[in-house]
Amino acid sequence: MDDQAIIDLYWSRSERAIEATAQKYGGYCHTIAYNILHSREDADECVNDTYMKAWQAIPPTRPMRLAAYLAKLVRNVSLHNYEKANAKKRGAGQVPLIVSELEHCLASSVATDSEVVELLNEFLAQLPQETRQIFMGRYFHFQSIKDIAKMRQVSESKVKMVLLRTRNDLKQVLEAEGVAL
Amino acid sequence: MNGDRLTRLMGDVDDRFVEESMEVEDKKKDIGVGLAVSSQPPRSHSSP
Repeated sequence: MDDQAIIDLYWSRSERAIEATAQKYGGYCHTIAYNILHSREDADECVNDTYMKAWQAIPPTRPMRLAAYLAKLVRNVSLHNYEKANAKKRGAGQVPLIVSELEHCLASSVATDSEVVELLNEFLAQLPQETRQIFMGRYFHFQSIKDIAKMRQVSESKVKMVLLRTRNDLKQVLEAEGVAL
Repeated sequence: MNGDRLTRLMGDVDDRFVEESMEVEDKKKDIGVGLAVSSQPPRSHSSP
């Protein structure tokens, strides 16, 4: 079903909206949730919460890009649940690794979230496509190094090198813009 | 702390970058990576 048709179902308050969303994007949302939580049951729960949040938000929201909208929703829901479950300790999976990798890119800063996001967008826009996709795969979709390497048919060491260089570049950009103090 | 913040803010980047990386997610499925979600409904969002 066309994304616009799905959004129209939400706007008409038809419960088929959730069914259509699950059919088209359920697997994608589950992948993101699973990458973060490493539990099928917890991922299922987050995906269902994501559907409910979409149901509550649309209308009045009318997403321009439904897939990206859902991806961000399920990412936020899953990270929130991850943090709740790991308030005292760091669990398994990609999240602690990713947080650790990004730790040194952004020093203590007074920059607002929107300012940092704007810089991130500018930074991503100027990256070569393959580098950007690797970076987004790791830091948006929480893919493992191994999965990225397998998908791209390159060595894990190459993926690690691309990520390391890109993180260093990002750090320099943030520092140059005065975000990192 | 800042790693947490940057991880969270990566979730707010422009939709077009998310969509672009989704295309790679599709490719990943094609070659069998990420089988942990193989029981989920098939995705058919090649042109969202």
